[in-house]
Parts: sequence; structure tokens; C-alpha cells
Amino acid sequence: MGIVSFVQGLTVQIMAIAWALFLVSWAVGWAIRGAPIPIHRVKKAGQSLIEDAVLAAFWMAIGSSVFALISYITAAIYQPLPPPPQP
Amino acid sequence: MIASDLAMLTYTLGVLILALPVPYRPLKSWGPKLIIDSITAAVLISSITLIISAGDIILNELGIGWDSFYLWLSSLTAGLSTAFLGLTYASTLIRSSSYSFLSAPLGIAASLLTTAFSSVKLIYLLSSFIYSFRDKLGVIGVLLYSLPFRMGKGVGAFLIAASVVMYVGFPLMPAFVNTFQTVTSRTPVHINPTIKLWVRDVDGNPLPYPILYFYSSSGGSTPVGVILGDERGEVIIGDSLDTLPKNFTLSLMVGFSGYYVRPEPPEVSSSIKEAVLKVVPAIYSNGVTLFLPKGSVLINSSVTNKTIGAFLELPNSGKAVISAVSEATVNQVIVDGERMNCSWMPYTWKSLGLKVSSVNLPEGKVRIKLVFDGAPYPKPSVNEKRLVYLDTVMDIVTALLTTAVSLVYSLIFLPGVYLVILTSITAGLSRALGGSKVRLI
Repeated sequence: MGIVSFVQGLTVQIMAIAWALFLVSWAVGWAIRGAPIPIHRVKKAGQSLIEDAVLAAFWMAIGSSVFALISYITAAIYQPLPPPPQP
Repeated sequence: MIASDLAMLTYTLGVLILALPVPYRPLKSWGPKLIIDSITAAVLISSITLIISAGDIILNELGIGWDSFYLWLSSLTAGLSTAFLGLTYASTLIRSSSYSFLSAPLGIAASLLTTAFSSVKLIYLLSSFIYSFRDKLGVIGVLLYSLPFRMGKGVGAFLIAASVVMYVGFPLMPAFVNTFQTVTSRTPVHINPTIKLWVRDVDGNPLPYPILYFYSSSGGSTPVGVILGDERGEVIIGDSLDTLPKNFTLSLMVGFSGYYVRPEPPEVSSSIKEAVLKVVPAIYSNGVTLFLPKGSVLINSSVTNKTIGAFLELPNSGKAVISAVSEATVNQVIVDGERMNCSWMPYTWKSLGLKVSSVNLPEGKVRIKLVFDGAPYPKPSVNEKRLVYLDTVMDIVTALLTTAVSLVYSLIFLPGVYLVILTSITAGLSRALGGSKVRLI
């Protein structure tokens, strides 16, 4: 199926980009935080970037597991579709 | 399944946004939102079969099914068709009578029924759409739901909700409609009494094509009905041809071969189902009729294809009338063994060519014999006037109007209200599923 593979490919690409972005934002975050700029707000922005990046990395790492867990739980309470009534 | 891939994509996008090195809050807040959306979508995707089968489970619990719904719909359609038939019947009756002013309310009834028909059609369409496409509706709903950036979340949630609510809701419609339905009578067709009359001569031979004149028992010289019988002398009143009231008595007159005679019995009433009307003074055979004089008593008679013989007793002298169709030839008229000379006078009656002659008969016992070459008695041309009673017609019209209104109520108004209720339930459920507000109007 063209669209499925397209979406899957897109997902993989975005995942790769997201990992790269994580590295970048983590680095940028640390850079801002560690920069010798005596402005508190800038430092805070750097801090939040690091936090977000770490969170993102966490969710990214756990993502497929989350989906697997959901499908596992629903499969546990799965009920086969009853045959449709004949009109 | 593409929806789970889309959910995954949404998830990745959410993570991507979260990981963006842009310290801009509103943008960042989309990240967790997308992650949560994707997880919800994943839950929905995994439980789509459960959601779809939820409808069946609920229907099973309620003990109703689509079969009974379709049965109800078809019975409604049958009721509608009956009403339509009744309407057609009534309008033909009315058009043929002098009460054509009554066709206006019938027109209203017809338009109401037509509207009810289109409403039933709409219910059929909607229900069969829901019935056959609800799986697809649910799946499309989930697919739309899992599109990234909440593009189809509202619509998706609505579709998922609709696939469940409508599927359960439609079979419940009969229960809803029946609860609020007040008028239950759906048989407007007036049951007419049917009366069979046989017009016979004094010997019991059928008189072909007799014309029966019906007079109201309260008097009046204008007949309320004129009906032509068939070649076996059979006349049917009522059935689908006349509109008769429940109780009536009509006095009768028979027109035959140029003469008008009061038959025995002289009345017809609603209490009888069939009757033999004897035209006492007439003896008929093969196009030739002998009308006996007034007050005469028939002692015996003999009738063949070519002869009519009668043995009479007359209190005083009188005239016997012989009426024959113009194609027939009367060869001999014998009174007490003596051959009489007759002069024939041709004349036309109800576009029948007839010839008439009369014979003087003496007082006392007389034997009269006719010898002839017969001819078939043709059908006279008569403007029939079927019996139509205004009260009965009004009853029918009123019944039809009531039925039409009740059908409109139970087929348009109640299902309409019910559909609105269903839609609002769907909207509510879709909000619960996370869709945005759906504005109906």
C-alpha cells in the first residue's frame, strides 16, 4: 500500500530528524545554560530546552513500547465481532 | 492499518515538536498535545472492533434487532399503501358522483400521504446506509481521528459516535414512535355491503340487461340510482362500485323491454345479501316479452325458444302487451285457439329497436300462445348512476384525512424528533470521545 509505506517512511524520517533535533536542542540548551551571560531569563530558556529535549528523548525511546502496551491491553479485552444480523 | 501508522506519525511529530530547540511556549505545548492525541487514537484503533461490536451488544441486551425494525418499516409502508388505495378508491367514487367538491380535502390527504411516503423513503435510505456502512463509518472515523495536528479529530469522533449511536438508535425507533402514537386505526377502507339481485320473469327465467331504478324510501320521483344488469339479469350493488350506508331501504323499479314494472319484492334493504326480483306480469323468451294484463292471475305457463304459452284468469277483460326486439318475428298470436291479427308499432327505447303490439283478452279463463322466431335482446344504452351516499363518503373522507394526519405524525414528525435526539446523543458522545463541539444548526 503506497500511502501506508509513505506514512511509515515519513515516520522513520521524522523520527531520525527528531533524534537529531534532540541532540541539537540538548546541545543548544546546555550551551545557553552554560554561556557566561548574566541574564536569568536566557539561562532559564536554556534549562527548559534541556528539560523538553530530555522528555522528548524519553517519549521517543518509550514510544513504540507505549503503542505495543496499548494494543496488548486492548487485545486482552478483545472480543471478536459477532456475525452481522441478516436483514 | 494505516490509522495506527498515522497515530505513530502523530506521536513522532509530537516528540519532534517537543525536541525543537525553539524556546517558544505555544509551539512547544503542541508536543504533549499531539502525544496524548496519538495515544488516544491508538487506544481507539485497538478497540475499534470493540466499539463496533458495542452496538450489537447493546441491541442484544435490549432484545431488539434490525429485522424487527425493517419489519416495522415494511408494515408502515403497507399501511401507507392501503391508505393510498383507499384514497384512490374514494376519489374515483367522488369523481363519478355529484359530490366532486369533496375532492379538495382528498387532495390534501393525498399530498400528506405523499410526504409521508418520501419520509419513509428517507428513513429507509438513512437506516440502510447506517446498517451497511457503520463498520466503514467507524473505521473512517478512527482514521480521521488519528490524523496529525487534530485535523479530523472532531469529524472522526462524530463518525465513531454515529456508527454506534445510530446503529443502536434506528431499531429503537419503532418503540419510540409507538409510544407517542395516538391514532392506531390504519384501515380507512370502508367496508361496503354487497347485495346481489337477480331479475327474473314470473317463471323464474332471467331477464337480460334489466335496468334497475332505485328510489329513496322517503319518496321522490328522481331515482337515486340507475344500474344496468348483465345478460343473466344479475345486478350487483355495493362492493367497490357503490357507497352504501350501513342501514338503508330503497324501493325498486325495473325497466325492461320498454316497460317499467315494480318487481316482487318492491324494496331492497341493507339486511339482505341477495334477492330474486320477480317481474310478475312479464313472461320472457328469446327477445320476446309478454306483459300480462293488470289483475290477471297466471295459472300455468310454458316457455320454449320459439313459443310462450300462458293460461290466465282475468277478473275482467284486459289487454296483454307483446314487446319484441325488432329483429325477432312474431308469427302467430293465438288466444283460446283463435289466431289474432296484430298490428306492430315500432319504437325505440334506450336505443333499443323494439316493436309493440297488444291483444284484447276476454274476462275469465284465457289461453294465450305466441309463436315466434326469436333474436337476442341487445344491451340498452343507459347512463348508469351508481348509489353514492354523502354521509358514507364523508365518513370515508374523514377517516382518510385522520389516517393521513396520523401517518404524517408517526412517519414525519416522530421520526424527525427521534433523529434529532439521535444526532444530539451522537454529538454528546463525540464530545466525550474528544471531538470538538459539533454545531448542528
